[in-house]
Amino acid sequence: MSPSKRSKKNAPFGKSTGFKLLGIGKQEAIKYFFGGNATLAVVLIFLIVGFLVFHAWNFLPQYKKSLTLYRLSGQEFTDYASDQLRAQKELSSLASQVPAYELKHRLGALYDLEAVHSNFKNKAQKKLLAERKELQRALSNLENTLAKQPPVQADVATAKARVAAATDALKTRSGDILGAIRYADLDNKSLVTDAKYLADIRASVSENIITGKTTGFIKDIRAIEAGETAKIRALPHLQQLEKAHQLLLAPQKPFAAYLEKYRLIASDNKGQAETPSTAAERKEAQLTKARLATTEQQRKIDLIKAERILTETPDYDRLNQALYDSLDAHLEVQQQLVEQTRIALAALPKASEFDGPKAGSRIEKINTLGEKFFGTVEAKRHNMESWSHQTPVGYGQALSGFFMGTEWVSNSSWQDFYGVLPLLAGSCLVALVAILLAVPFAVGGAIYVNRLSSPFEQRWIKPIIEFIGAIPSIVMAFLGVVVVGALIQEHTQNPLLSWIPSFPVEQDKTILTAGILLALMSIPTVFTLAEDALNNVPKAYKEAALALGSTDLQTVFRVIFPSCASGIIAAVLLGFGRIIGETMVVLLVMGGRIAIPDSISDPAHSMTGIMAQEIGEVEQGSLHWSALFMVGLLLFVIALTLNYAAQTILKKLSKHS
Amino acid sequence: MKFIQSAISILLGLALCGTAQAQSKLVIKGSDTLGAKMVPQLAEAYKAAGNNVNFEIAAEGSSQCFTALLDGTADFGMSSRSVKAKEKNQFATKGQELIEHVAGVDMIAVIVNEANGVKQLTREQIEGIFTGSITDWSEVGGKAGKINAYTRNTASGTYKTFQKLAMAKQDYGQNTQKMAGNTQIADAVAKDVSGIGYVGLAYVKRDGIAPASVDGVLPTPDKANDYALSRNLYYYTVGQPSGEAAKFIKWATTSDTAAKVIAKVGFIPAQ
Repeated sequence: MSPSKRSKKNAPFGKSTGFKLLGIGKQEAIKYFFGGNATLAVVLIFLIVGFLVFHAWNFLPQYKKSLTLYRLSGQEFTDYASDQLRAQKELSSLASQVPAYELKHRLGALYDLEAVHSNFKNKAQKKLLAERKELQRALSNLENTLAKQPPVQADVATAKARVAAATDALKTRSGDILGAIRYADLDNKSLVTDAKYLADIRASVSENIITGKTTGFIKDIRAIEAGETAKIRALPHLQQLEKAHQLLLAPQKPFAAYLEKYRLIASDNKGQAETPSTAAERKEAQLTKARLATTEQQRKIDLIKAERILTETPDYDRLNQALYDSLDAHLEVQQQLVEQTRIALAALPKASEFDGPKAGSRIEKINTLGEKFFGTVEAKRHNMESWSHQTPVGYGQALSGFFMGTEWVSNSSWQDFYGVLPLLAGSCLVALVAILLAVPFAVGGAIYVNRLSSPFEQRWIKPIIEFIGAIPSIVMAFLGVVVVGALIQEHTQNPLLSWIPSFPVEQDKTILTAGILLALMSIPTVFTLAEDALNNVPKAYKEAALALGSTDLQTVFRVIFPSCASGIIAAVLLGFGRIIGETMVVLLVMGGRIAIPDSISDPAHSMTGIMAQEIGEVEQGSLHWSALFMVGLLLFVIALTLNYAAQTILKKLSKHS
Repeated sequence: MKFIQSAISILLGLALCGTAQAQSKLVIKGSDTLGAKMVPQLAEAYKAAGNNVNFEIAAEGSSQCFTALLDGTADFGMSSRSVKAKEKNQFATKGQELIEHVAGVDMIAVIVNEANGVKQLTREQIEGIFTGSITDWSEVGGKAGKINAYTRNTASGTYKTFQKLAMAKQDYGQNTQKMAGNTQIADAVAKDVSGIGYVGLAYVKRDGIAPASVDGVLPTPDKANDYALSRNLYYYTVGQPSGEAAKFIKWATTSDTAAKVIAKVGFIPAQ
């Protein structure tokens, strides 16, 4: 007879089986162990939040202090004037670009010929490594034999023969390789080419590779180009433009001189303003040093140094007086700037006079920016007149400086700014690109695998898609650096794609590149969650739909998909959360440009990337340090919100079904 | 059985550690400009000269030199800029003094893509390019095309020195891209026809890039005094160096072999 199931001997955690510690039996011990683990996880989450808040806590007061110093020192005042000059320089910079674009358009293939030449050379040289090395070796061999005293004639002859052979080999090989290079192989597809130059370019590149000197062909081309350029530059509208350009440049000098003078004063003020806040510390340091000095003389020197450190607050009224007094001088240079700019803008030739579309568009841009310029100057002047170093900087200003600030400048010799907007914009844009690319693949894949595929396909496709999730992000980043970036850069040059906004992509490290890689990484997350959502649809729905005579596709799109839409939305949100926290790919593939991106073909920086890049180099507890933790906190809040939203949507789903 | 095996392997490991520790070890931290090429090659030459020393070199940027020395995690530091007053204070607070040793002279070369027609720039033009007021190659005499400026990251001494020497201490423009090291900048410029960047002299000899002359002077070792962007490279020690560190620094800054290695890497020996 088998023992009864309730027999005490067989019970795995039977209470009476002896072992007890402090009155806790095996079963209870295990229960407490698991309970303890769960509690620990919860406690850890709170600890992490606490840690983030703890380090970010100091940001606001510190940033407020930094901005106060910025105001007290008068740097803010001079920056208004800097903004005026910068706005004007933008106009002159555009004006100086116009002739080149007009030339480029008018000269066509001739303008880009040298660029095509060097591109051909690069391509050929990469394939000629062995031959070029052999020639170098032969040449150095010849040199060595000639250097021997006295030279052995036989050796010299063989060495010379080797050089000749190597040269010949290089010549034939380069001829072969260059013969195979066509205009279509150019890396930069935007270069203008002309079939009539092709043979000459090939011959010239081959000659250049062997001799290393500028070839006759290139010299001829340069001469022709110079002649044509001179002709075009002599055209009346370009002459007119040149005059306007000079008019724009003329008032910049006195303005820059004014600016330099008062920036120096402000910078000096800042030094003095910073002194009292760090002086106490420095005095302490100097005194400690004196105490530890080994010689009496050194000790005295240190003590004198310590005494010289001022701990008093400087007299800001006196320091800034020079700036208040400079308002008249500023008005003078500003009037000059405004008047000359007005004349220059009036003298500017019309956009329609230019043949090149890029030249014309620049003229138009000068005109639109020109209109804004006068407004900017007025506004900044008004700021300068109403500026007072005594206006206190509030917490609100520090807070909006962080959340609405468009500049992230650290380790500056002038003033640090910590505005999160460029980073936030970069992170959000790349996540958006990624999710837009990932959703069709992931959701479509989930629908197919879950509803339409054969069991055989199901067995294979699902694990493979999920396997993508196992690829470490750094490997993905390598893929981006080496393969994807270059591919995108090359293939978007195609004129057929130029209708897509922000194409062609001019760099290999851009938001688009990072977005594609992140899309690949988020596909498994979205796929798995979307598939779960599809699985949760009761079988009866499908059966009812089929029984009513709908086809498979109708069932999926009219019945199943609508009933689990909220689950799929939750999946997409969680995928978004996964992407926005990703670091390695955005750090290595997105290019690291800290500015609000204009389009997805720009490089950008991200919140995660900036933390990874800068946290290693900052002093603990400094303003920069707490700014990075503020970014971390913001990221955490975003991720939390996304997760919460996804959970809420999922809950609604379970209520309905 | 298992226990004996693992015990033996642990013992063996410990024994190996013991022999490794019999060798003296030098930990050097700091600048990427020095630490990526020059100091490792000096270390090799130093070992080849018959010194039984193990080197541990970490090069993440000059700021690391001072943080590591302050923590006491390095025997000496490398820096491509001189120490800041703030950093000096931190050492003074601990009653320590930093000693500076000139390791060599470097010229920060402004590099452009080989295919770029612009090979001459003035200091004002460089300032304009890196502060963002010049955005197109046509403004500095080149063919029409947007300028992509590559700079080092903020921990770098080269970043700061360049700001001081070439940009009148103004901030870098928003459109500049920050790269981790000299090699990365050289790679980026070699790939990007419209790129411009700056690197230590030792990184100029690479296919695809060419140095631009600054105010008419090309960065070559014999022009160190005329070139606008020359700077000293330093080793830093806490107090006078002693033991193996002292021996190495003395050898690296005075011996002929070391001078040859430094020149071969592409920098200029100090003496």
